[in-house]
Amino acid sequence: CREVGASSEAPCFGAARGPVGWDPGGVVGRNVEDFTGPRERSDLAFVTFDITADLQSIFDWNVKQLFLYLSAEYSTKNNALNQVVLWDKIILRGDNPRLFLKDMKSKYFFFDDGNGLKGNRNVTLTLSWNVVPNAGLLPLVTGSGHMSVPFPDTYETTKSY
Amino acid sequence: MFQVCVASQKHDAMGTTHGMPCLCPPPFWDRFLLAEFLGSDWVLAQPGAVGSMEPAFHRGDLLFLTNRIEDPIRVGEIVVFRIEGREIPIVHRVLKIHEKQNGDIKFLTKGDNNAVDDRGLYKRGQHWLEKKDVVGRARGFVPYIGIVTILMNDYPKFKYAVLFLLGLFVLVHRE
Repeated sequence: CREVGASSEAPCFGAARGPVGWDPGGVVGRNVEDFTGPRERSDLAFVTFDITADLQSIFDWNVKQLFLYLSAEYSTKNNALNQVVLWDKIILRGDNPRLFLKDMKSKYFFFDDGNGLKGNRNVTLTLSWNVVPNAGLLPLVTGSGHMSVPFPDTYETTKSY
Repeated sequence: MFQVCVASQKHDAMGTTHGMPCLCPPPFWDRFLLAEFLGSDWVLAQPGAVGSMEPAFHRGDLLFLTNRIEDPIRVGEIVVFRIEGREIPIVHRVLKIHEKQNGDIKFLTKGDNNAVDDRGLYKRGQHWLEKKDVVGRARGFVPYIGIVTILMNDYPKFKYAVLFLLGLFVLVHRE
């Protein structure tokens, strides 16, 4: 995974803050009523992240747009597989294909279906994209370089985020 | 094969319809003309109305769908689903899934061009979609092809002109 400028490499997905020992502010968990839908108390996570990607090599003559999304995948007692999209972006042909995003907050609320995020050591963040052609197939591609984000064992109760 | 509403309904800002009378629901759903094609695996569908999936798909594009029951539902996929009690299918992207060990899955969808997820579209009290609500998965598309059908529905004179020309063509060929 190389930095911006090395277009011969596959696009790379850079660091999410919050790996063990680094930045405790990177991942925060609370337990609240899920106000986006079902009213049960569920774990709500706040993850901040950086994204570095060079998508130039994906835009060939038949690519109209990329639908880029960052998703978290994990297992809990309640559900064998959970996937939550945290952030997405549409990149049109002609837009700057090099992303250098820092300190991003998630676009969508990261609610679990239950209380499975607290202390969860196996939450993986992956960057993927849907290639939308001018005409043809609509493949989903997952970028290399996923990042594991261990969740703290306790809920955050202070107001700051 | 079945026709799901007129694939070209126009709506003004108030949500009323003009042109032909139709039993169509609110304007922001994508409407479809579904047809059997190439066997039971692949179907063609034509998005009709306002672009909740723009800039990827527009009115008049033709979508290729698969409906293999064994395909797992994963985030990022574009699914065509029907809400219980409503005829009109919607094509949106999967935003969130929670799947149990035995394969039972509940998931949430959202149109790319919409500000919020689809919970407002689901039935009252319904928070999730399930496998049974899925009609198909969008695997490919061809732009603009459906525009002829839409024009024919929107402009009856155009439809008569096309039919007239087709009739002429048939007559001319017979000779």
